[in-house]
Amino acid sequence: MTNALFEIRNLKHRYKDRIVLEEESFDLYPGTITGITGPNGSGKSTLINILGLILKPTEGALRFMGEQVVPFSAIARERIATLTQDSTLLKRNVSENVAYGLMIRKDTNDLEKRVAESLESVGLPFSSFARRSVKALSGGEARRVALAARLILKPQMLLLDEPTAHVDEHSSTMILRAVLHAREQWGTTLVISSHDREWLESISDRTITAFNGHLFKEERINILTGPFEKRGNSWYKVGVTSCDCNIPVPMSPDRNRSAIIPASALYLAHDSSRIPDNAMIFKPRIAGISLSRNKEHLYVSLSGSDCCLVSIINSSEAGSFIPGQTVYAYYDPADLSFR
Amino acid sequence: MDFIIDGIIKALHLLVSFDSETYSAVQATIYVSGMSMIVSLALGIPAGFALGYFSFPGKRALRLVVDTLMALPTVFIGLVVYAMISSRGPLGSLGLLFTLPGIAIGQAILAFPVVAALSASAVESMDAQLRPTLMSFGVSRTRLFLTSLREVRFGLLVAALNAYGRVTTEVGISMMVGGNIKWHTRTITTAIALETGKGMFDVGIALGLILLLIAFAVNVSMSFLRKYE
Repeated sequence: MTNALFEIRNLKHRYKDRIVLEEESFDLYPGTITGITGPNGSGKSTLINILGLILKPTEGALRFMGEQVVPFSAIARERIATLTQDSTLLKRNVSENVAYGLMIRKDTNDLEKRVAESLESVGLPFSSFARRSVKALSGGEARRVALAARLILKPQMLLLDEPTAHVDEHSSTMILRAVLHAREQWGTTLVISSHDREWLESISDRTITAFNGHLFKEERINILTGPFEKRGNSWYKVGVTSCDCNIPVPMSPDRNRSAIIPASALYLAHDSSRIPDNAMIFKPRIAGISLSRNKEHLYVSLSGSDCCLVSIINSSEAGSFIPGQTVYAYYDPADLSFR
Repeated sequence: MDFIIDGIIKALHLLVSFDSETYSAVQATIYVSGMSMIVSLALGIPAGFALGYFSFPGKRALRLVVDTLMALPTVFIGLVVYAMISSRGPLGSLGLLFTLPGIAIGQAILAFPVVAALSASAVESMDAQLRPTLMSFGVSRTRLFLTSLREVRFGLLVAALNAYGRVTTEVGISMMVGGNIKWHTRTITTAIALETGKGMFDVGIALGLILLLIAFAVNVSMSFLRKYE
C-alpha cells in the first residue's frame, strides 16, 4: 500500500506492432510537480495521455487513489484534467469554452463568477474576453483560455503537455503562475512535459526523462544516440564534426540503438592514475557548471563528440573543476545500458 | 414571346390571389419534403457521423457507395419505390402508392445519401484534436457525440440544405410514386410538367417562381451560414 495519488504498474503501450511506452513502475504523489522531458517521439505525450485517461494502455494497471481506473472510471476522469499539446477550443465564445467542463458536470452554481475567476487566474480580464470569439484570440490567449477551462474544474491532478510551446513569454509566465497557484490553493498534483529541461528543473520536484518509450527517473541521464563506430577493437560514439573526443562504449549490439549513462555514473578526474582499469575513459572539455535545485550538488556540462554530457559532482568539489578545462571522464561499463 | 410575358402576368395574379389549385401543389410539396427531410436527417446524420468519425474495414468502399448514391436518378428511385409499394410489391398492403407518404419515402431515399455523405465530409474535416480535448474533460460517449455534432453544426446544416434543394426540385419520384393527382399528390414540379404540357404557361410559371424562391432561400441560407461559421 503506497500513498501515491496515481500508480502505474507493468505498463506497455503499442502502436501497431511497435512498443511506444514501457514502464514497470511509476508513481505520482499528491501535491508534487513532476517534469517530463525528452526528445520528440520519446513517449512524453503518450504518457500524459495515459495519465490523463485519454488513451487506454495496451497492457498494465493504472490506479488513481488506490482504485483501478482501467476501464476508465467516471470519478477519476472528473478529478483529472489534461491540457493536451494541441488543445483545441470549441466554436463558442471564451466564456462558454471555460464553462464547458462545469456544464457537462451539471455544476452551474455561480457559473459566471467562477468563469471570471478562472479567466482572471490566467491573466485574461473577464470583461474584455468573456464574449470574445475564440477566432479573435492570439495563440497565447487561446492557450490560456484552454488552461482556464481546466483550472475551473479544480482538478486533483493536472497534466500539461508542452504548456508553453509556441506561446509568447507573457503567456508562458501567466500559465506557469496559474498552475503553481492551483497547486498552492487546492494541492493539485502537476505533471508537466516540456523540451526545456532547465525550465522544468526550475519548477519541478523531480524531473524524469523519456527516451525511446522508456522513463528514466535518475536526476539526469546522458543519451548517446547511435550509430556507433568500431575503431580498432573498440566501439565509439563518433562526432560528425572534427572532434578528438569520441566516447567509448563497451560494445554495440545494434548500431542504431542509443546508449544511456546516468549522470551520477559519469565521473570526472584530473589524472588517470585513480581511474579503475575496467572504466571507459574519454577526455571532454568542461562547458559549464550549474547548481542543482536542491543545492546539494553541481551539474558539470561536458562537450564531447557532438553531444553535451552531464556529470554530477558534490558541492565540495566545486573549486577543482573550471569551465574550459579538459578533464578525464569515465564510467563503469556496467552502468551503461542500450535502448 | 407574348405568351411568356402573358404567362408571367397571369402567374403573378395566381400567386397574389392565393389560387387554391396552385397553393395545393405548394402545400403538398412542403408536406412531402418536410417528411422526407425529417427521416433523412434522423438516419443520415448518425450514419454520416459514423462514416466520418470511425475507422473500420471497408470504410473507403462504403464511402464510395454513399458518394455514388448521391447521384441516384430520381426516376430509378421512383421505379424501385413503385415496385415495392404497388399492390404486387412486398409493401403493397400498406396502401402507400399514389399518396404523399409514398412520395416522402422515395424522397427520403433520395436525400439520405446526400445528408450522409456531406455529414461524413463535415465530420472528417473536424479538428483532429477535438476528441482528445473532449476526452480530457472526462466526457461520456454520448456527450462526445453531441459536442462533436455541435462543432460541425454548420457543415450539417449545409448538408441538410443541399438535400432539401434536391428533394424540392425532383420530378421523377413525385410523378411515378404520387401519380400527379390533382388536389392530392400534385407537387410543384409535377404540376409544372403537366401544365406546361397542356400549354398552361401561367400556372407553370407561377409554380416555377415559387420553386425559384425556395432555391433562392436555400442558397441565401447557405451563404449566410458560411459567412458566420
